[in-house]
Amino acid sequence: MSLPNGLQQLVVSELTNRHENFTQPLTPDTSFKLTIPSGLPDSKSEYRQTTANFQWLIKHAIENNIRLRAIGKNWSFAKVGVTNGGMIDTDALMQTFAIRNASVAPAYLTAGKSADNLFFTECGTTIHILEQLLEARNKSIRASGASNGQTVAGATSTGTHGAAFDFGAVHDTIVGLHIVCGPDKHIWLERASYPVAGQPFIDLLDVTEVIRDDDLFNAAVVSFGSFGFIHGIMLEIEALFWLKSYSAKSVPYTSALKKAMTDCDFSGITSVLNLPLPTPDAKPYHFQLIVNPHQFDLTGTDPSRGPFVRVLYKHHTKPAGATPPPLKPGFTYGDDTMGLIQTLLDKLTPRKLVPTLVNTLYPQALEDTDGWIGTMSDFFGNTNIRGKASSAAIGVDAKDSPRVLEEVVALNAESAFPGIMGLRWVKKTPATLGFTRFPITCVLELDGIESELTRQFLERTWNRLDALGIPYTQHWGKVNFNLDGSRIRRQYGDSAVDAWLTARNQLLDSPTRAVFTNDFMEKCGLDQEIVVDEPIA
Amino acid sequence: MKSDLPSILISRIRGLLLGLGLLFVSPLLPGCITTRVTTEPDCNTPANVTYTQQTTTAYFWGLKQPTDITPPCDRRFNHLNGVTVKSTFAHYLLSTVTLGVVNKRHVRWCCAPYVPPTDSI
Repeated sequence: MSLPNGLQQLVVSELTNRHENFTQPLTPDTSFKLTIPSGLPDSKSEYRQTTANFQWLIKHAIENNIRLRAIGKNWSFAKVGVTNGGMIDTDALMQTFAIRNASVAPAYLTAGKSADNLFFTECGTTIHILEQLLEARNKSIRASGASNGQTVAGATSTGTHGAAFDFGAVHDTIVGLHIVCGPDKHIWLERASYPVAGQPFIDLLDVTEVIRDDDLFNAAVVSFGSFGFIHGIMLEIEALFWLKSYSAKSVPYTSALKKAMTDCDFSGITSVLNLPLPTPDAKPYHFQLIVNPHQFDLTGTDPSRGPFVRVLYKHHTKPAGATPPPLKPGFTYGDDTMGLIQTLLDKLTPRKLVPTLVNTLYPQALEDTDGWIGTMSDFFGNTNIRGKASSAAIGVDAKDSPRVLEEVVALNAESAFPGIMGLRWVKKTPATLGFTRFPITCVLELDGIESELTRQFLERTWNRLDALGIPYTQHWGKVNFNLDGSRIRRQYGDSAVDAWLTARNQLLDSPTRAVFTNDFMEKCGLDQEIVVDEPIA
Repeated sequence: MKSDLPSILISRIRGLLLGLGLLFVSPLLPGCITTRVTTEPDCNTPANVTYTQQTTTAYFWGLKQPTDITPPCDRRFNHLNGVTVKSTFAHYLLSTVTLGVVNKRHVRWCCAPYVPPTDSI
């Protein structure tokens, strides 16, 4: 088979995700790797050739009746981003472009914005490399996950949320998408209410169509790779900022802390964290709790049995005496340690040992971050989780967060969870199926050992919230094996799900939709055909 | 005088069974030594893909070495970001049973991504 410049076939028949929760079988001879084409006169030509390569792949898939899905760093705990057809490795696509004023929509400039606030990147660039490139330009991304190893397309597609309670998630930093959504179709998509691209930019991409539509954009920005290949992403960035950490290893679970949890109002915990008053230059950006459910005093009377609490202030000018967080310690547990613990938990079921195990390991999850000052990449750097791990995350309204926390702690008292919890707060996203959909979403993460015991606990947690009628959503890229069509419609509402399906049907014709459908979508009813009045040409 | 023979025998049988159990189970245990060399965290491939790993074999106490691995990194940068060498208990067992004639290791590499300079539009 003769392949175009920048495309190579991969010999691969299965794919195990990074955290080793699953192995996805692949159809042999259907996987490919994209690289930046070589021998072309300039970077723009290389970019356009890659677009053509994406189109070649879709054509090849339609002609051979195979499914395809681009993969990022393979971090997802769920099979949301994989298919039993071919895997398209896009990780080498790391072209980036700064934007000149002439390439920006006039409305963007009229609104007082500058092209300096925009940065265009290919899908395979990792958050880590983006941070390096931007910091060198005295700029910063606006939000990231808790670590920065994902590709930008992978992070946004699965709803990576970070903890910016006054801003939002990674996908909320995106203002334009270049999507290859057919063998003869690739589009520039942005919001009608927030146009960013000027004609020179559009001309350079040589797209077949420009679509300015809020509903389509909001649907596509969190679509786990099912709206075609996202080739390029326009990020809105800002001047480099610094974060300063105020944290305490155990804060009593009192009404003051609950007020911080429900309203992001930190006035009641100011003294315990030594928080300064917000100023125009520095104000709270990030709020996080880490909870060991086996050592948690719900009455708030035992000061040693409260959660770890951290608030990061965002500074627009570098604070004096800033020293970056120290390097992580040299020792870490082995690659197979988690797998060994899984075997012990599954085969020997020493359930009474679980609290002891967690209590022993819990201090290692805490870093004494109080007083640290650093950039986004300093605080949210590379992860050191190795081997079999489990992580699930539910999104709840911040107003419900204390009640949900208390329910999970009560469930843990009934049957121990081999893990700990993290709670982070994120502003509501406009993304149609973004799981941070509450005015301020509290993302409650349940991180632990991959084991049957963990899966049972997660299922009990989801069922308990259902029984109590507490609205919640689930992270697309984390453990979510109970998701199906009815749960998704209950979590997002019929109108949101139908709007998302309508958008997908508008952008992709039927043969292309078949290429970008996977088992996860079929299980969740997100593969449905919706009759639209008139497909977008 | 009461003989302790039955209890000693039972104890020895238990020990033997435990030893046999360990012998059979131990090859199933996952890797026990992983040596990793890394520079930056970024790679130009997803995690855990099989096309960036290989099992190498040396024969006859190292007299016949495996051929050098040439990872297909992008020639415009051609740097590695990481190499992981992993030895499992099964590898040690194989080496022991063959008296050192056959030695195997898993090798995984990670190419550094080629990051071209930021252009402008």
